[in-house]
Amino acid sequence: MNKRSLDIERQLRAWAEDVGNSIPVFRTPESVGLGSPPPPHTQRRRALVAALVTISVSAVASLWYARAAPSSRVAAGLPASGVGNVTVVHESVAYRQEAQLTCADAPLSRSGAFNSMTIDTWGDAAGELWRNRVTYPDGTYRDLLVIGEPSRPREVLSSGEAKGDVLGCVVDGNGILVAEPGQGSLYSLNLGRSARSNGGAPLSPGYAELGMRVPGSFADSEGRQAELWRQRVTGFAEFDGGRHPLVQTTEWFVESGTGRVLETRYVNQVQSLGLAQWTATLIESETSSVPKAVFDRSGYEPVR
Amino acid sequence: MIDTVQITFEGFVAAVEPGLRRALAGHLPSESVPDALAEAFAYSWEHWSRVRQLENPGGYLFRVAQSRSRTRKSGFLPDPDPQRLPHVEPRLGKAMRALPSQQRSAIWLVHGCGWTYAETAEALDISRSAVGTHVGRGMSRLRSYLGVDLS
Repeated sequence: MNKRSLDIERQLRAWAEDVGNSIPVFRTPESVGLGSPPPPHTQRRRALVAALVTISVSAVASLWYARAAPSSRVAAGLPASGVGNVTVVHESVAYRQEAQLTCADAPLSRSGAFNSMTIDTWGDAAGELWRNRVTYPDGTYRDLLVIGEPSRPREVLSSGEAKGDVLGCVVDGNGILVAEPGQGSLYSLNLGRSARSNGGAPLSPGYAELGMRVPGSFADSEGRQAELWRQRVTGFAEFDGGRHPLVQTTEWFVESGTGRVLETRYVNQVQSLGLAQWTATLIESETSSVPKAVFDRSGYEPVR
Repeated sequence: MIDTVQITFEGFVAAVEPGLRRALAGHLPSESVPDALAEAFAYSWEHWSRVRQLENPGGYLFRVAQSRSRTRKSGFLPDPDPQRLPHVEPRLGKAMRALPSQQRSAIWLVHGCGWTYAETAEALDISRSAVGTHVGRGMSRLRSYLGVDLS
């Protein structure tokens, strides 16, 4: 037999990682609707996941905050120096969330938590470097650093504390309708969504894959003319020994011609719990040169 | 506090998902894996109070995902892509598929996915010692098939 050295264990590891990486990362809300339409059984389950594990964001009082000189606000918290600069796309989004709950018991709440925040994203697509900064109304922030394609990152690191509120009801089981997004994966309205599967399907589906265009003329909360795309998911949430109908509606306000998402709204309504919703509004989008230190990982801890 | 439960669950998904995805990718057709993951995490959410206390949640959810997956096809294992993995022996796929299913699964989970014997035992619903036996015998077969020098 022709003998030769071969580290089979290492090859198995590389092979398994490659096979796993060829499959889209499961994301609690974004995975809803991935692929071909699922049968009712699966659709209900996906709706349940999306209903109860919504990873979103929020903010009520801080459109004002987001508009207050975003460049200086952002620059103030970023590394001031680095070895050279890198060209990035920067997006700034104002996020707010609110709820009208009809809880039988106490509503969920986190003392001192925020329902508004600003989410800045810097993306170096060529270098496969991405960063979120979530800034709260008190000026504090947390960061998420994503290395690789956002839909299948090689590394995700974070720093800082999530201070967003959780909206929903205390029930036997889970009654969370909306919560701060982007704690485990990159959050952006438009960045990091270009990756495709081998079959050509987007790994991070957006309005064109998930929604249907609503005929007519529309404007977002900023008064910007836009196309309206909508996805409506129905299903049931199970808690307190019963099945409770739910309706989840996502709307995208899309700039005609460019296809850029200007605003996204999400409403999660569950019978006997009430309604919670969030709105994410694009405030700023630009290409700029920033210090490479923007993607410096010092001070970060691995998320996965 | 329920409010911390959501954060914990999100962290749970972030921690478990990559390993579970790799594990399922070696056992189900790739197009079935997203649905299987959705089933597993929906189950986790529905039974969160119990799942959060499991010693080996990955192994348990592997079984949940497989049993609830719509596909009944198992043992699916694509060949290593020579473009992306030029250092991987091309015959490794064929050699793995030639193994008995329990040996193949145990090797995939232990050496491919880096799971512990305990996690693998939970996933395959066998004892830890049986995992060791399957891995040992399977690796011997692989080395023999591939002509690997053990010295």
